[in-house]
Amino acid sequence: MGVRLQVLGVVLLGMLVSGGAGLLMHRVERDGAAQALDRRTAAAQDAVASAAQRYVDSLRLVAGALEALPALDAASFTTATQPLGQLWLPGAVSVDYVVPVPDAGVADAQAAWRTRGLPGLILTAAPGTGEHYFAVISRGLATAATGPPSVPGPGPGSGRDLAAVPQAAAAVERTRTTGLPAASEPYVQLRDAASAADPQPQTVALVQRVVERGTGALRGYLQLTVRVQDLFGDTMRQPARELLDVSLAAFAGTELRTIAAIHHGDPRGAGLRRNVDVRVADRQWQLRVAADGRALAGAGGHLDEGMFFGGAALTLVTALLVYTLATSRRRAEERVREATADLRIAGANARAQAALLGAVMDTIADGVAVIDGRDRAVWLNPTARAILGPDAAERPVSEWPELLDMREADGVTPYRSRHGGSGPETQVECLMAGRRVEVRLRALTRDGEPPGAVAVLRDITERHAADEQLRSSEELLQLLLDGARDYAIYMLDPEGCVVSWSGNAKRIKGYRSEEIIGESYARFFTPEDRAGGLPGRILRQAAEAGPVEIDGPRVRKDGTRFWAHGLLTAVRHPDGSVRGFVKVSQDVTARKKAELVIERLNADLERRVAERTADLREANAELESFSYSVSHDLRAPLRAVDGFAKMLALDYGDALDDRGRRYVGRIRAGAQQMGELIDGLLAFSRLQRQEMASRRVEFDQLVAEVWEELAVELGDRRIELLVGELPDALGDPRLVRHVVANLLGNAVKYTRDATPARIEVGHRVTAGGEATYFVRDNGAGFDMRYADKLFKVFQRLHRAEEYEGTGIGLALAHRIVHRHGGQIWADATPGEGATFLFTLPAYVPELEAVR
Amino acid sequence: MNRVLLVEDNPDDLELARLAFARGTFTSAVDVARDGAEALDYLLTPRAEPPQVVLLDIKLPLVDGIDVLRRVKAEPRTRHIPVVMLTSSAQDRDLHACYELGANSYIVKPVDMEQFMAAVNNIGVYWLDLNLTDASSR
Repeated sequence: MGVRLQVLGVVLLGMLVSGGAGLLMHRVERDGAAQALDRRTAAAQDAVASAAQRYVDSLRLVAGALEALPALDAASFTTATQPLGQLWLPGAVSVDYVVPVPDAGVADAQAAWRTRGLPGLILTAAPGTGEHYFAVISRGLATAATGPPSVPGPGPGSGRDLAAVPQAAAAVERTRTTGLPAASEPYVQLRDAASAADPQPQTVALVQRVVERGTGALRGYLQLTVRVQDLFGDTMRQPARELLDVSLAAFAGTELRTIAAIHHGDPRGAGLRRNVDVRVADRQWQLRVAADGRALAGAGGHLDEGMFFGGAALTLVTALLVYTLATSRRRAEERVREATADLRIAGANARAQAALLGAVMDTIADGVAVIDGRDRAVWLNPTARAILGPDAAERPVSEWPELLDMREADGVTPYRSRHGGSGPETQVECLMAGRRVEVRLRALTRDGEPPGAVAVLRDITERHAADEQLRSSEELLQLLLDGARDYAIYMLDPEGCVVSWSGNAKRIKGYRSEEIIGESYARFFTPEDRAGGLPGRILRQAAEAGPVEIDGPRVRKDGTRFWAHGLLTAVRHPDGSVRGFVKVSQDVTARKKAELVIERLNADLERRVAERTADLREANAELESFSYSVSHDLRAPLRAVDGFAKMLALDYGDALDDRGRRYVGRIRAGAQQMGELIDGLLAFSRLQRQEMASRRVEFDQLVAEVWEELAVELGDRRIELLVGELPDALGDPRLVRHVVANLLGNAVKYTRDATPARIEVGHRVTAGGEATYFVRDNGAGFDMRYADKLFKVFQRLHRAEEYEGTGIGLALAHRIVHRHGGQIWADATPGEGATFLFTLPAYVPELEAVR
Repeated sequence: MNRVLLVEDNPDDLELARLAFARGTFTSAVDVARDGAEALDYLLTPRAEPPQVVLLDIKLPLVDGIDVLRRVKAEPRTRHIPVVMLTSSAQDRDLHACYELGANSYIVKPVDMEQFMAAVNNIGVYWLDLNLTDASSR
């Protein structure tokens, strides 16, 4: 009875206790599940974030490798993207090199890229205008886990235009401005759009700007296309276990779209949910986790009811014991599982990083050597092996200076070892096996080991040679700029502001370089020219039509003006746009002044010549009318004197005595003498005006003809004439004949008393284009003291009653010879004879042929 | 009777020319005109005994010798009459024009009277005694 009661009591008590314990345990279970889900969510969040970061890091590393390349083409892209193929990047579909091309430049860009190892490239512009982003080179990545297989390995990009995918284009825009990697909003790739899968696989593009190292100029973009579901599925395989539903969402516009998910059951049954943010490049994604708290917590979901319905205190105790044991074991197992999962994730990450590092080391252009404390090179990358040569790796590092004939940067001093130096990092430049290498040494200390070093070697032979060449050409240029003392040579930017200045520019313009650099060159112009817009006009002309020659007034710093002569030439970028201008300027004030003076003098001279010509013409006209009237009017009275004297002699001669008749004779002689004087004077003045016609004068023939005429008047006189060799002269034959006739006539006249009379005509010398002729006689001669009067008009050296003459003949001969550019002179001794010499231009047949 | 027209404004030259004609080896009557207008009046007026030769000074008052020559040589009735120009200078720039207009000869009036007389005699013998007028006009 008591037992029953006891039992009943126990049962009742057990029921009561079980009911109370059941309620209590229900609450404990629930709290444990929430904690477990928090941990699970955190692990999943870490896993997604680190996986995404791995994709972004890979993208940045490859972009960095592309930036380091001197030039980009299909082959170098292949090398640079090599590491991506070796890394585990599930869902990575392809990596593309994308170039921005403006609307107008599509054909040019296509042509340019075809020459860079992509002969079949066709750029297909998306509709619409503006900037295009063409994927010119692509590498399919074999790690895509699902979906249609892409072609692994590098190849020409489809030439497709990213502008067609607004999400990708927006990411390109962002990395262009920030320089940081950007993730696009999710989108459905064209090839996935056709698939029947529901939901359709979402793709995200990770984009990184690629600039040119050094200049920072934009080269293009590197795009890594990732199918998110593959990435997510791989990453979540472990962390998603025991979760009902894990999904990843990202904003597509304003809509939060699920881009990847793993379902293990009906999420509607989930008792617990967590939403956390995951950062991917420059975007936040949302990780959603849902779980059934019981499934999560363990198998004891209905323990409370068991307890309650068990109905025994022992059962209660046992159940309590079992429950306690089971709960603690489960918790321990759970912890081990979690730790294992975390370790696995960490291990995978570490392996991936090591693979990435190895791939990078294999492809970078710098050599990397790790040297341990025991004088050994323990690790060399391929570039280091190439720089150091095949033997170095096997030999102690201390032998390298000798082995590689290492020298200091001067190329002469043997290399001084810095290994184990004091500072944390040392940088030296030295020569190794004839190559110029920049070495960065970083001490490497590890506990319990002698200190080693990491050496980064960079072959700068080419760069150094280029620097040297640049320096020497710059020196040469400076030498030239300073040497051209009369020239100010300086450079302007496209807006006309001074960007470089020289010592000579300072000397000519007065400005020091710090005063003028950055200022507009317009200040060299006069205010009037500036107001007229001349400086800008010259720049435009130089930019559009080629070098402009400048001549005009300029202003120095001190306000003084000078006259400049110069040249402005545009300097252009390879694409033809104007980079600036070179201005060469010279101070030509002195020359300009001289030119002005000469101009004035010339104008004055011309005016005076014109005046003198007019005067001369007038004088000539006067002279002509004068000589006309002399000839007509002066001779008329003489004719009357002579005529009537003759009539007097004829009609009244008988009425005169001898004396009277002699007087009449004197009257007539005087009149006739005066007539001759007038005729001579007229001939003399006419010569002044007469035109000269130069041609060949056959001298020997001329002398023969003149002599023939003279001989008529010789009567019974006998004269011995000797004619030597006579070269032809160049002159007016009529005038030259006059000279010969005069000189021969004189010779005849003055040899009247010589017995035997001898006259010699000859030629002395021909030189300098002139021939010298002479006429020599053995006649009366004259006193050389009066030789200066010989060739003057009306001057006579003999009395009229001795030798008749007008005193005009020799003056006429003198004038004729002078008009021919020749000379005439005489040599004589009284009573022994005289020699007259004259020069005339020689007749040179060869010259005539030219003429 | 051979008839000569002498056109000369200078009285001395006129007198000496008359004397030269008078002393020539030919016989002639000398009519005189003292200027160009008078000469044209004489020549263009029809007369029973026209001159066989005209001695015409180039330089004349009113109408000069060249104009007289031009009119005489343009007039059909008178153009066969030989005209001998009288000039003071052999270089006379008008001599060429005279030949162009049809002058038959010229005499440079020399200072030496004997030369002048010889020239006049030649004229007289040629144009009057030998009477070559018709021959020249044919």
